[in-house]
This record gives sequence, structure tokens and C-alpha cells, in this order.
Amino acid sequence: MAAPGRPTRILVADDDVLIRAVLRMALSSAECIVDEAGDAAQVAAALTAAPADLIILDISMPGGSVEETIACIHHRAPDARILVLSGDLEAPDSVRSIIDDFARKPIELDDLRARVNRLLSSPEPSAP
Amino acid sequence: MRMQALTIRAALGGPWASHWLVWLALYPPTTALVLLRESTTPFPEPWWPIASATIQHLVVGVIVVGGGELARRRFPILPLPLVVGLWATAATSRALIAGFLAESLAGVDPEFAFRITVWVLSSIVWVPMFVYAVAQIDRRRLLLVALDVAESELEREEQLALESTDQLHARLAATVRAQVEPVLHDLEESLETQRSQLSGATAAEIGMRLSQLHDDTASLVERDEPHGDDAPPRSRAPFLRAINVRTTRPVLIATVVTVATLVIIVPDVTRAFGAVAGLEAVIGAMVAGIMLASLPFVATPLQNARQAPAHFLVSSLVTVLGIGAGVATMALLGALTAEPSSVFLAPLVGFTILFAHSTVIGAIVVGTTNDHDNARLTLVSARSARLQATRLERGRRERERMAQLMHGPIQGRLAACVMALNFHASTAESDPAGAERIMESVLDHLQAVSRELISLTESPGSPL
Repeated sequence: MAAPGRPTRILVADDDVLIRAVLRMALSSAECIVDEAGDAAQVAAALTAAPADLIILDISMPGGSVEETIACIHHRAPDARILVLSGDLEAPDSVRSIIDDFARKPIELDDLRARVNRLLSSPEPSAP
Repeated sequence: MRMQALTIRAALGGPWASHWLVWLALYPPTTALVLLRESTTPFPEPWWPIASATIQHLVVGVIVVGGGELARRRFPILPLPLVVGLWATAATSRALIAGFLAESLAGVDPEFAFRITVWVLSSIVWVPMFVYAVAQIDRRRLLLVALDVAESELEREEQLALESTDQLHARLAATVRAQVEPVLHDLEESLETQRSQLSGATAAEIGMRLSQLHDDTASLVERDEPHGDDAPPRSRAPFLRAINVRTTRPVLIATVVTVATLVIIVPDVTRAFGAVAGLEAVIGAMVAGIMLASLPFVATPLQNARQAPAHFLVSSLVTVLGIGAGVATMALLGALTAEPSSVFLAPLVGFTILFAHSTVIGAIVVGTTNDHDNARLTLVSARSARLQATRLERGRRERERMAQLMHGPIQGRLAACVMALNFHASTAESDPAGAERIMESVLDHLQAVSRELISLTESPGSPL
């Protein structure tokens, strides 16, 4: 959840530039800032620069495994929610307990917005 | 694939033990025996022996076929004591009917003890052998089809095993490309031609088609390699093919044939025509037996020749020569002893030897060949299964690798295009500039997918 008075910050982490553009355009608003990251190093850099309230993370990004990236997120943004997007039907066992939500690509944008709203209003983040 | 060995219990207690075809097939030889036995009975009309034979056989049918049918409601495989009981009852009934007709119509001693003894003894020697032979021939017809299927499967698997990993990869990639490219190009064209006036509904519709393509692409490489068929064969090989077996153990066969012939012929011949005729029948049968035992050795070079004739033709030739020798011997002895009955007895002995030889070939030779071919079927099926397992595992690994290759570059891009078109559908009117940028990116992505498909078919298989 964003701190009162400051806009919500969402980090879209996907190596596909089109996905990042679509999600940015779909989620950007006056109350919501959307940052982008194209690989694991950019995720770390973005979180260092500004803490995010929600990270929408592609399961296969260059620069590191999804487990390593999630560990980095937990370290740099322990209060952030994590939504993982993947082409697979189910989340792998190794990340199921350390993320907040999982969705299959392609995802309907209405479904995405509903998940984002739910995650941003939930009280507790995932356990590291 | 493997077929169970045919046990004696299964053969003698199985369907052939009380089958109406077996009953029908035994009508001619049993009628010939009745005619021989009643040849000296002074019936009032000449057709009574045939009538007696027919009445006997009908009663046997009721007992064996009818009784067998009733028993099979409880026992799918009839217990051997029950089978023996049915046949013994049938034999006894024959003797009683024949004796009764002889006494009541011809006024002669019914000789029940003689008739019962000879019929029961003949049944013990002949019926199990005949039923077993029929069961083995029937089994061979199934076995040959199973063997053909198994060898065809093995040949197919051996051919498929020659396919290298690169060839397998190329085949899978070509399948994917052939399925995906036409749809992809069609969608690209639709977007290109409509991009300037792409409505939300049209964008959503194209997005749905892309979504279907995305799902279909995943299932293309998940499809399993073809398996073989494990179902048991349904058809039977032709009868001639089933009996086309190389005759083995000729001495054993000739011995069984001679003994079976003597058991069934000599008592009645001696009773009807006297000791001299009986001795002639014994000598004729033994000469035939010696010929049947020795001629196959002479025929061996013929069977081993490169252009060897069919086995059953050679076997038939041996049988004809053997029987001919026996019949000729009886005819000669008849001429020497001035025994008139040899005109009738010689062909009867010849027919009996022919029937015995066919039965014994079916029981012993076909049975032995079945055991050998069943072992071969097991080996062929096992080798085919090993090759198939290796091929399927290799295919699975290559499909997994291909799925990984396609996951991001192809499926990921298609998923991105679907999401983009959905977004375009909802924002085309409110943000036309943004929608146009989205459209450019979608077309770039689709062109990138086309390039990735080409690259997929040009890349080598995994170094497995």
C-alpha cells in the first residue's frame, strides 16, 4: 500500500518492450506512477531509486532467475506486493509461497487492473 | 505383444472341444467307420448303415455340442474330466444305438461290449488329438497376424530410429512453422490493411485470433509422438498359410499316425473280414508309416533349396507317396492272397492314414511351430518396445527444448500482441496516438515472430 499522500508506484519488469508499453499505458494515472525495468539489474536499480508498492514481474527475464529477482525485491522493497506473469498455466513451486499473485499471459487488462487494485489494497505482503 | 501359450487344458477344454464345426468335420470319418463295422450286418435295406451312422452322429451332437454349451455357462474352460465324460458318453451312445439297430433290424447279436470298447478306445485316441490340432491351427491363424503386426511395428521403429536429432528438430520445427506461418501472415495482413481505421471491435477480434494462435502454438509441440497399437489382432490369417509349416519329427509323427490308424481300423477289419484282411491292413498301415517317417528326410534338400516350394506342398507330396505305398501294398497283398475285401479296405486304410496324418501334423507340427513363433513374437515385440521407448524419450526431450526455444521469442511475443490489441480495443478512440504506437509495435512483434520461426527451422537439434 502506498504511503498516504504519495502516489502509488508500480514497477513493470518485463523484457518485452510492448508488454511494458501496454501495462504502462493501462496503469498510469494521476494516482499511479509506472516505472519500467527490462532485466534483473534494472529491477534492482529501479527499486534502489524509488521504492515500489507493486512489482509486476515477468517470470523469465534476462540477468537472473526469477527466484533471485524476487529475493532482491524482498530485500530492497520488503513491503511491495509481487504479481508474477508467465506463459505457463501455474506458478512454479519455488515461487508460489514468496509471491502475492500469479497470472497467465496473455491477461485481460480488466483482470489485470482488478488484481492490481486488490493487491494494492491488501494489508500484508508475501513472506520472503 | 505376447500371446499366452496354448495349454492342453485350454485346448481340450476350450471352445473347440464342443464346437459344432468339429462335430461336423468328424461326420465323414465316423460314417466310414460305421460303414466298415456294419458291412457284415444283414440290414433289410442297404441305406441302414448310413442311417445308423447319421442317427449316431446326431445323438453325439446333442451330447457333446449341447452338453458342452450348457457346461460352458458355468465353466468357460471345461474341466478335463467333464470333457472326457462328454466324449465317453457320446462314444457309448454310438455303440448302444448301433447295437440296438443291429439287433432290432438285422436280428444279430448287438455285441455291446465290443462296440463300446472300440468306440471308447477310438475316441480316446482320436478326439483329443483332433480337437488339439484344430485349436492349434486356429491359434496359429491369430499368431501369424500378431507376428505380422509386430514385425511391421519393428520395421517402422527401426526406420524411425534412423532419424537423427537434427532431423527430428527439423521435423518439429517444420510442423510448427507450417501451422503458424499462414495464420500469422493472415493476421499481419489484416492489421496492415486496417491499421488506419482499426475499430475497437476489430482489434479485439484480431486479438482473439492471436490468442488462439498463441494457445495452438503451445499445443503443437506438446502433441505426443505416435504410439504403436497394443490391441490384440482381430483378424485371422488364411487357413492355407496356417498349415504351411515345415514338417519336423517325422518319425514321431509317422509312429502316432500308424498307431492311431491301427487302433481304429484293425479291430473292425478283423471282425468283418477275418484275420488275413486284418493282417493286410496292419502291413499296409505300417508300410505307409515307414514311408511317412523316411520320405521327409529325402525331401529335406528340396525344402532347403532357395526356391523351395511351400511347405504344405512338400508335406502333401510326402503324404500322398506314403499313403500310396500303403495302399499299393494292400492291393498287392490282396491280389496275392485273393482277398476280395482289399478293394474296399485299401482306400479305407488310405483315407484313415490321410486323416490321421493331417490331424497329427496339426497337433504336433503346428503346435511346435506355434511355440517357436510365440517366442519370436515376444522377442520382436520387446525390441520394438525398447526402440519405441527410446524414440519417445528423445522426442519428448526435443519437444521440451523446442517449447523452451519458442516460449519467449514466439509465444511471449504473441501474448504481448494479444494484450496490446486488447488495450488498443479499449483506448483507440480516447488515445489515437497511443493506439497507433501500439499498432506499430504489434506489427514489429509479428514480423519478429516470423523471423523466429525461420530461425527455428534453421537451428540444429539438441546435442543429446
